[in-house]
Amino acid sequence: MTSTIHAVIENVSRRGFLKGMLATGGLVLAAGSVPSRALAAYATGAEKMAHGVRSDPHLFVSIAPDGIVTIVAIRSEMGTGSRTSLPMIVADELEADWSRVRVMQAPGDEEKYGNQDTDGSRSLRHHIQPMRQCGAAARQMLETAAAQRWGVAVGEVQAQNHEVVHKASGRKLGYGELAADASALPTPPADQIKLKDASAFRYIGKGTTPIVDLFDITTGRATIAYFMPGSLASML
Amino acid sequence: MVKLQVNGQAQSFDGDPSMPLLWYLRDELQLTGTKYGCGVALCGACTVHIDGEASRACGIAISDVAGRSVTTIEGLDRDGNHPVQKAWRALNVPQCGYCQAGQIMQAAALLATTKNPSEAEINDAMSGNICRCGCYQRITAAIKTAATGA
Repeated sequence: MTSTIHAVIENVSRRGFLKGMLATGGLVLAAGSVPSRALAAYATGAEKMAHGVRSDPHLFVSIAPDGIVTIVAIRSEMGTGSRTSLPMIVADELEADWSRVRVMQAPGDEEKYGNQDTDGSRSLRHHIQPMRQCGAAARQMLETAAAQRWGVAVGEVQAQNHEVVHKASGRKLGYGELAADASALPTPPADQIKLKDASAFRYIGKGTTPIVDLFDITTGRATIAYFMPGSLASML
Repeated sequence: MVKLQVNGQAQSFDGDPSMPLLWYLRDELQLTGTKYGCGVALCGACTVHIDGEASRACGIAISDVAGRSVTTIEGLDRDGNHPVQKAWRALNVPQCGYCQAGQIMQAAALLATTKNPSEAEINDAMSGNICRCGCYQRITAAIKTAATGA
């Protein structure tokens, strides 16, 4: 398995995938989060589950017109930090300011988000590459949107810390201001997605980002066990 | 009819008096910060304060807390800024989070009576609170931080 795995990334801004859950009028990207080759390499049992292996998009990142980035966590939190680390990977590639990132837990909806089994120490192994590609694709679309707005070559602009900058003229546009324009653009083809160099990581490997539900856990507000509506509890 | 105080508010309950306090808190009052762990007072996940003392809510009948004052994680500090909660965040204690309300309530009860506990006193007070993620070293460190205000 090498870094040549490519997630299929789609611009689903107009498809109302997350209707009622996220702001409209922004950019929403979806990526098939488990490449088929990774599935073949790791027998997970997903093929035997009710909805089988879902290859349609089920990892989402959205950028609302107010600049808030929402990243859907498609794995649960079992104490290893994956509810934080997986969205953090998207945010890093996206050059997002973590304080303006919201993590939305995918609520056990297999048809929408695919298999969400959180086990086998595979949340990161299976998802780091698609997550990076999804974040990078969004970043490149924002850069393209800004370059078009200014009428300059995309190579002259750079996304950094939640805005796109045109160094030559000192102009800047925030992600929120670019979200609507970016939502009208095609996603970059897989072979044109440019991942960051590891030396440019903001969050990955730094060990400086607290888990997203730290405050909620210490105040008893965190949703830890999710019960589907109508589920009953039993005790052995 | 059982009358009691929960997080400073007067409550009354006229259902089954043998219902464990834990289910009253979770199912009747929707105070779900207190967790169900083992159900037999062996793991500490359901720890609350009864008249200030750390107690396992799963093993106490609602009738046994009549006239008493119960504090849950939701009522420990209105803004969630009890010194123990602040220390917990400063040291990134939680991992999955399931046992943490119980851990915090146990630690807060310890510090209420023992202002600057030794490591042995901390271990003694906390030994009934199990953490499957294994946060114990950070829990001990955070209790010391909370005690000294560091």
